[in-house]
Amino acid sequence: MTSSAPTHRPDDDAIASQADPSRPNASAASIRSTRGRPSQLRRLWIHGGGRAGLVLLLAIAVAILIGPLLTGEPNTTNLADKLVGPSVSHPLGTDQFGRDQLARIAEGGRRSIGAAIVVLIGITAVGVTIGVIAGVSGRLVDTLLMRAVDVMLSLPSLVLALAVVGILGPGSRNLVLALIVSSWAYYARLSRSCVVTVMKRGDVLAARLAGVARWRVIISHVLPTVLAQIRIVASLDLGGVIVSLAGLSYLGLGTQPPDAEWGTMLAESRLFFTAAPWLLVAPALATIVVVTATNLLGEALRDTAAESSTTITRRRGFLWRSLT
Amino acid sequence: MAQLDLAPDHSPVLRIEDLHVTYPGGAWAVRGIDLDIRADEMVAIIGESGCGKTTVARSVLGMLGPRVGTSGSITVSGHRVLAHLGERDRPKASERDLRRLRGRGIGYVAQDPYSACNPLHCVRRHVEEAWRAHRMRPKRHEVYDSLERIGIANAPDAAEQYPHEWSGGMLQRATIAAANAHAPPLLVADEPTTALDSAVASTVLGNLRSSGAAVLLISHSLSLVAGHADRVAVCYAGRVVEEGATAEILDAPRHPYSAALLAATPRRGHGLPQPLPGQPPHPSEKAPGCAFASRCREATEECRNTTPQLRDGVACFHR
Repeated sequence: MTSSAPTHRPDDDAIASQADPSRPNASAASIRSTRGRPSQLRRLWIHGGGRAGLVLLLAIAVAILIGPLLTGEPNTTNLADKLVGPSVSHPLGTDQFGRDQLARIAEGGRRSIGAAIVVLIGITAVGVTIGVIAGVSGRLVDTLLMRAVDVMLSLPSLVLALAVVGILGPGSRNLVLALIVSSWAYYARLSRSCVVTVMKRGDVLAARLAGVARWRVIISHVLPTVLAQIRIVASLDLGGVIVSLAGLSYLGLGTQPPDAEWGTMLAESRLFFTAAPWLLVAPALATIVVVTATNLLGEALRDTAAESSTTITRRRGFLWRSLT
Repeated sequence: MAQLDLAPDHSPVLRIEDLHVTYPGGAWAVRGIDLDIRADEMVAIIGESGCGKTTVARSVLGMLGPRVGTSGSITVSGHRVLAHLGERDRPKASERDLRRLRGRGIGYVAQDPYSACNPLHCVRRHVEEAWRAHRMRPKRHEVYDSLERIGIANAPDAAEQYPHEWSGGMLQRATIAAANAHAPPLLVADEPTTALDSAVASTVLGNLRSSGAAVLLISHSLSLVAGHADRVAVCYAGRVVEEGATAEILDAPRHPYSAALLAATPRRGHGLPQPLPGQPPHPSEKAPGCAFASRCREATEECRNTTPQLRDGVACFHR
């Protein structure tokens, strides 16, 4: 290739003024300053709902991580202090075995949120893998996989999860597995539709015409776009998964006593509702707060995914407007 | 194609023989095109929308899709992209062969540089990808050098920016740098200047020209073709109706369609452009005769009944 002299064209002026050091105000810093969009975290912080969600989730994370250090063992029984109401020594009271309710809420939070995250990672891994295979494969594989997805979507996921736990037996691990088995189909369908769209994009065509291998095109062009979509859906689903886990644990299919989990704690507390209502309020309230926070964060992620910073700025007061 | 041998010889870099392309649904996009491009030569295919220009480019790249019917032969630097039926000794390239040929044997420059670049990747990464596609890991300064050679000022800083931060002309030059990363003997440029103004378009074509590769240029713009291409093939309804040196065709077109196409283009000293009346035939139409006959003032009964073959650079009974 022979070299050609650098030239300036009228439509290149904007960029050239930044890129050419001979021009006034041109520097690497000025180029970096034109990068435009603020970071994802910054955009979430500007978004009112996103900020509320972040603060709530941060508070919950601190509570469930540091809480057990301050409150002691969640499974330590003390029958002398059973069903004691909220006090300085037990801020959320104690249960029928004298176990500290705050310690159990923190421990239960770790289990509930941790399990929900594992479920979402599992659903994403299975769903995206199947969706990408369907999207990039030929018509036969695509049809077979998508009809399998149709079958899965036609089954009520909660009933399917109940059936799977019924086969595998109760327990938190089996419950996580059951929720993955019953919920991956929607992610597979979403991924597949996203892959089909992305594969028709000009940059994918250009990459293939440059000789880029199909797997490399999938990794560098297709997956980032698919995962950006999935990330938003997953963040919106986090609350739902927590509720599903709590619900199935409430039915006795998840974490087994004496281990603490919000659904299990709700199930245990219903027997003492009149004598010790705080036992019911604390795990229910914790579930509501976490679900609200994840929903706010998910909606903020969705809103900020394609918006400019100006539009996001106009959304200040979003939370207040939503609540009022 | 165990080893991609692109050693230069005296045969054309690109040879298209009797290419026919039929899309699903019966659209007959290309109806027997023959074209040779020699090393260092820029050949432009011009014609109206739907005349089969882009289909020819995609055929050369082997990107027509499994449901598209093809016949004829396409050879790039001795490697078969498409083979005549029955040529068992030299069958057409497999998908793996095509992948090896793309980038190293054939470079591709897209019409819209913004859509050809992943918006999530910086320009450097886009150019780098052309190397990485063939298991090469270029050093950053090699990428910057390739951009500077093609006229990008302050490449180390500019290349770290994202496509939306570049102008169309600069980005198109970057895609040319990417297409030329392995110095392929053939570049296919599918209307690379459509999204650019005329001054920038001329620079971009100059960059293509200076790449040292043979260039198959698909274009609408006669003025740009006049300034850069060595030869022109005028395409109408899937056939080449006139082929020859650019200056000869643009100065004295012999086929009535070439003359009408030129008359429809604003040119100094030629008065107002004269629009070409009528519509080209639908691609699914299989009537005999010259496809241009319904729009041609000189058409005779022979034109309507017999398809004229390309002889001495023109496919017309009256020349």
